[in-house]
Amino acid sequence: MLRNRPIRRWHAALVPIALLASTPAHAHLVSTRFGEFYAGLLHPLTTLSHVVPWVALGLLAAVQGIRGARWNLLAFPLAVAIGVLLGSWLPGFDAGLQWGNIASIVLLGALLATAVALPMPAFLGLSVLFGLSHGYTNVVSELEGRALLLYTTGVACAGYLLVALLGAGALVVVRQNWGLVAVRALGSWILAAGVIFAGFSLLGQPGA
Amino acid sequence: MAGRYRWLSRCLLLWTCLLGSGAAHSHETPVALLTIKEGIAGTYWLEWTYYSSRNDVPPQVRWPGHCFEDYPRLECGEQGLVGEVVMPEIGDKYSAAVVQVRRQGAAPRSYTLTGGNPRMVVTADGTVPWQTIAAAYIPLGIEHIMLGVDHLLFVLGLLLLVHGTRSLVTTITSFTVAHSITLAAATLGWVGIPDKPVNACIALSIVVVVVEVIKHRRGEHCLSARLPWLIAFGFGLLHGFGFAGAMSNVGLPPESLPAALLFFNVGVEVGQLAFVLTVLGLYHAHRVLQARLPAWCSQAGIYGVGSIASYWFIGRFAALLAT
Amino acid sequence: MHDSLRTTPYWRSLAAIVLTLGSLPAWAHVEQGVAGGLVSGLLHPVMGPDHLVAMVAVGLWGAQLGAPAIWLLPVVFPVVMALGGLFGVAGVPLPFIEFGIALSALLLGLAVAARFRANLVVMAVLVGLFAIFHGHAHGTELPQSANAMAFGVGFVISTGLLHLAGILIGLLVRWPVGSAVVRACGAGIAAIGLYYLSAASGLA
Repeated sequence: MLRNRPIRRWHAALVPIALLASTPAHAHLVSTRFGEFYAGLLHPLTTLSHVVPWVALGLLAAVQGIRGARWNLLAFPLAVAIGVLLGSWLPGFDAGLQWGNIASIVLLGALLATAVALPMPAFLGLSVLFGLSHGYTNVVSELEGRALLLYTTGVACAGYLLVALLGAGALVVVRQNWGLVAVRALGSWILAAGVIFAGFSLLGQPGA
Repeated sequence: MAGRYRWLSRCLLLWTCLLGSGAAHSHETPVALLTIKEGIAGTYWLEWTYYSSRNDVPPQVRWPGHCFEDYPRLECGEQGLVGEVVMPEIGDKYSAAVVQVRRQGAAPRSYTLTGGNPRMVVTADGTVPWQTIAAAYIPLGIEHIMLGVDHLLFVLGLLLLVHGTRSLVTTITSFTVAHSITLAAATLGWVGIPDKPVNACIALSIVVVVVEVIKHRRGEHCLSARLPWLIAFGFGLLHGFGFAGAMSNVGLPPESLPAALLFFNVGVEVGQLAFVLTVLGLYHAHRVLQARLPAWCSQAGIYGVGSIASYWFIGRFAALLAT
Repeated sequence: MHDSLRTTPYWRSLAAIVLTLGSLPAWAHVEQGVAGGLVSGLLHPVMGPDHLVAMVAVGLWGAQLGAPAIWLLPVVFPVVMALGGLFGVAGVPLPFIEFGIALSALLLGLAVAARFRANLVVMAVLVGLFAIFHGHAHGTELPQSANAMAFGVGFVISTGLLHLAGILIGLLVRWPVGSAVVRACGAGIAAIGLYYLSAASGLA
């Protein structure tokens, strides 16, 4: 009953919103000065499969309390930067690490939905692991030298901005009595989106 | 307040690494100029003027469907040249293209195509719709401030000097007002100041602000910390001339210039506001998370910015003397 | 740095964001995957009326029952629905899907109308069971060229907003008149469910 309904003309109205969320992800790089910094900054922020788990990580850090969020501020961007450098120097593991990213959406969503308080080393280990994996898969073309440095800094900055702003924002929110519930509900949404993404990827649907 | 410096130094350090090498070199921004001259019976004559070390062919052009190019001729039939003209390679091989349309018995019109807006709409009466101008110039303004690291560093310096919301708002507003005044004055041709001394002075303005920040941190008495809007206004006048550099090469017809100027300025303010809000957001985020860097980090960051700005100043001043 | 016109190409990405609205057609062909996925994800949950009212009913019921059901039901639903979607993608056959969806709208509507209250776990399991049917129906809906992540995000946002709408309407229960309105909504939903149920079973 829900099948085979054509996307109608007015649905095009939604396209700008969708584009707004996605456009620059595929804008390719030109080897000139600060371009790589902004390209690096925007690539993860405009790719849903990166930005969704990063948001989850930022929120999860807040759920872990102030210490977790604080250390995450340092650990995650550093891990992302190292991941990007590894991705440029030792390419070839993208396909495998895509699964790491998919797992990160599901796992982080689940942890957020259940609001689990992890031991500090476990949380930071997870953050570093996903940071490396996401950094690695953010490499979009062969860059070297200054360009690579700028691009890496851009991607790491994106990670830093997200975990700093969201971590602090969520920390304020979870102190309200409705706040934790809202954050957990968001976690369940992320988990659900991750499960759908994982399902389509695993079962070989196109576009994954 | 000490906490603010500590975390801000993180940003400063970041910029320091970014700017490290070759900051004083200018980058190549290849611009192509296309002149379209109306002949008879829907025929137009094309003429390219371009320079780029990377390309020896002019950018590719997609004409409206009823036009056929046989360089240097363009046949548009009875309709004439109306409709959308796109240059897909702009923003890639070329930074921008300026297209001048010279119709018979009408004043020439200029259109600017940029990476953000590689298209133009040609109308029969030759006017440029304001939407087209907005689409070209708002992104140009945002781009200009986002890539103008010296402007951003200056704004960052101002943020380090201010205390409290009121001071912040007045300072940023006076910077905005000041650079809008000189941007307008320079673009409309009321005042003409050459690029190079302006750029040297902009570098110097960062040095001055950094020195004021260091003095302020040491607890020394300084005017700028008490009246940061004054320093913002004074140097804002200077930065406005810098912004005008981006507008000066663009051959717009006089009646389109005020609109272009307005939209360019809007773009600059949007970019500046985004930067200020990001920095303030990070400041509050660090405060909430109680994340503070050791004092030497902030010290190193501020001195780093000062060194870079001094390096720029010396480089630009030397270039000024050399010419 | 200011020596020349700063119309630099590499900054295009930011300009692109600003210009997306203006230069839609040029980007559309490149971004079909993500945009298409997001659009179809956003639209699917609102395309079938019985599905739509069942989503709202979940929110209404949760709000009517108060904490912790107010957030537990909407949290359980999308996750289980996603799992149900997996069955759909995998081609696991599920009998009476349309029947199940219509039935869920009817029963959830009745529960709201009757202010039915049971053990929390029982209610969560019940809602979860319905969610599998709803998810399964959407499971094979991803357009061929669309981006799966975008589809998932759009789908979840749309579903979540429907629940939220239900919860917001459901907050009226604080007032006596509002409580009656909420129950009336439930009755309406049950009626819609009943219509689709009869349609699914071939009676109408």
